[in-house]
Amino acid sequence: MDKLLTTFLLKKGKLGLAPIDYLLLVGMTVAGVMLRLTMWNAPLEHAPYQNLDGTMKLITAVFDVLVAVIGAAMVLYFTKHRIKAMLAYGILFVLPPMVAGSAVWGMGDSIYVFIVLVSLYLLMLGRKNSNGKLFVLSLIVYGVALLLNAYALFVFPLYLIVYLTAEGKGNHISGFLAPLLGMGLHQVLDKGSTSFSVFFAAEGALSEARYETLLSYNYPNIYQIFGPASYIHEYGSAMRVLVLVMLIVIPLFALRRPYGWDDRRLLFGSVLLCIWVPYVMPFMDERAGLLAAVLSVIYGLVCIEQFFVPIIQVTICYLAYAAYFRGDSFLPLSYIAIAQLLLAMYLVFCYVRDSHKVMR
Amino acid sequence: MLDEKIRDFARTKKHVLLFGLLTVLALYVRYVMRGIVADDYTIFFEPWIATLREAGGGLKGLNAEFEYVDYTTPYLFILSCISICPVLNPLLLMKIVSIVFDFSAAAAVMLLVYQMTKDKTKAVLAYGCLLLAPTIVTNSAAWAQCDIIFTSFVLWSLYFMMKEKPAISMMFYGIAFAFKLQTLFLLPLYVILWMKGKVKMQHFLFIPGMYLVGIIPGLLAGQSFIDLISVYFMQAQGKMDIYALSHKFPNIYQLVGTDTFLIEYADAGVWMALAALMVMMYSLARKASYELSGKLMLEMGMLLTMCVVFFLPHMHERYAILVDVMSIAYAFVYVKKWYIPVLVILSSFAGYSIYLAKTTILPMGVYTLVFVYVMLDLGVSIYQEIWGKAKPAGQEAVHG
Repeated sequence: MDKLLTTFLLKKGKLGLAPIDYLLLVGMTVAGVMLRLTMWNAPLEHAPYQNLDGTMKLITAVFDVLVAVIGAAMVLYFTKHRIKAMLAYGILFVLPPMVAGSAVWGMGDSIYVFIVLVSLYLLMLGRKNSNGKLFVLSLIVYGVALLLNAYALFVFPLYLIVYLTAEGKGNHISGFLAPLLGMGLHQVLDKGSTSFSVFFAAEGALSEARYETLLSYNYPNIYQIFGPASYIHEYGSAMRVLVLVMLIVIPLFALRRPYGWDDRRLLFGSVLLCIWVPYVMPFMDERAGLLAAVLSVIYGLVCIEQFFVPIIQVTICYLAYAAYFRGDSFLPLSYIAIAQLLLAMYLVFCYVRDSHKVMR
Repeated sequence: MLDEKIRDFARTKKHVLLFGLLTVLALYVRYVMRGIVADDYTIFFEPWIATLREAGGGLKGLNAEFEYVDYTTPYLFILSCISICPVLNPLLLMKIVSIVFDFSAAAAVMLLVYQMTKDKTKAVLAYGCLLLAPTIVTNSAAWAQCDIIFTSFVLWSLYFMMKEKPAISMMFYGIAFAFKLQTLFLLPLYVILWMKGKVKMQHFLFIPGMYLVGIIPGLLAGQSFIDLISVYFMQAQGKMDIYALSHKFPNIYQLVGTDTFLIEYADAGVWMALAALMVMMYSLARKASYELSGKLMLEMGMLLTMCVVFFLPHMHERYAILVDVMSIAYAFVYVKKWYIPVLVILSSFAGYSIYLAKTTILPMGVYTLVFVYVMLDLGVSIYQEIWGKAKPAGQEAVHG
């Protein structure tokens, strides 16, 4: 009887999935839904703003599922390993920053995260497609992500890298109009009318609710070490330009070894950029680490020996959310910023070491 | 001539000598702590014992009307017997009961280590280490807590599991459950053991079975059956503990805040713990082609228990005791990992210090990070053992 049951649980069906896989899918879905339900009405008494619009929360929760699905698809693409893909779905669906973003804060961040993931997936698929249509499509999708949230900009260098290292013929530079348009429209809509849509209304309300300008709003980055309230104008202007220039310089630097940029390296690069850019970019808020958290989970499952990366990154990301919810951070943000710096430096170390291997 | 006899004695009986010395030392350490009176005793145990005594003590005492009590019948019966014991005071008697189980747990660890290593020296040293571990000494001899009772039964359960005697193992696990709900922290391991064919489904009946045996004194005393079986439901609701998400225990709430979203995080924490367990159990059960060694069993047991107490809300200082004792056995089986019990017991003991000495040097968040590190370390070990030798962290991560 026991043998029969355990064999049944592990026996693969037509889709290549065993009953235990379905059990995990159902269990994690239930856990994810219950997590959101328990946090749905949590009041943010010490935070400047909370979007209480149930529709927005619901839409974001649907996109949470989509993020989990696309994350699982990416893991399957990289590893061809169904168990890891299942785990990706499960882990992403219960990822604390995603739950906090959708069910508690109601800011709709999963929408842009999902679109960025779709765009990156297309970008990777497009590398094998010599006519470049998928590359252009990925840029168009990326433009939509930028329209919705400027944090999508973190991964911009990857598109330039793929463009500059592509071997196929064709003129696809026009595709970059999409992200430019997306970014431009975002600036116009964000600053013009806050009532353009539910999405921008929430962003506008959040900006208004913050009664002071800071170099970092509870985000554990470099400004938490040096002080988020000093030289706001000077540091803010200088660092913003510096980071934007670096986003162009990085792809040019990457051209030193153009042959090394395969899909895994692109995934690794996306994690690296999503950690480093908000670490030095001024005016980042608590939600700036979400994309890094999601991408790091995918990376951790692809390179399972580095699974500690998502554990640390997700924790750091959630601590920023928790600081917003509490009104202050339970642990000093400077400590968390140092932890983030150590992780970021470790990833650079991995990148350099790997580059040398490629060169040899 | 005498020298030779001494040398011969020391050489041939070194394990006995070591055993004796460690036992005496362990007893002395406990003797020194006999005078410590913790708040739990004055606030809870003393009034409970008084109530039991007023009701007649012994079996009669179990009919006592308590304002609040969350212990199951077996331990209440022990307390009830203590309440009418003519020798020594109740505090000392409580400590003595726990100390007896300290030795029972140490014996279990000794046999467990011997079973896995066939090395008598390691086995005896493991026995001594457990008896001298700060959390074990403090829990019973200073605090007069009874966590070691269920812990010792769990250790015996693990020992018999390693001896491939699943029925006896599950019987001990059932006895442990009859004493404390925290036994369930380790249940996921037994589910994996079932998946690996080490335990049969019917063996799980020992869990409710032993609980029912444990409530017999209460039934004989005339208590309601429903009341007797609902103790754990009351505990699970945690009505007494809702003022903080973590009671000085180094878990996730020491990072995000122990006083934020008291209601919401409490519910979400349970779901988070379930989700984390599902992911781990799936990862461990889905892969069919690996041999479940004793070392792997200990690693899994520690990791799964740590995972539960890391996410569950309202955890107390003492709730990692299962990990403390398993880590000692683990270190003697796998000496390279000697630092695991050091780190586990260090982070665990931090909570004890805050409770007993009302002082802490480092913030609890630091101990949480230590706890997380141990979880990661164990995770890597399990991964390496199940999925083959992994590359060193980070190597060829990008191009893998």
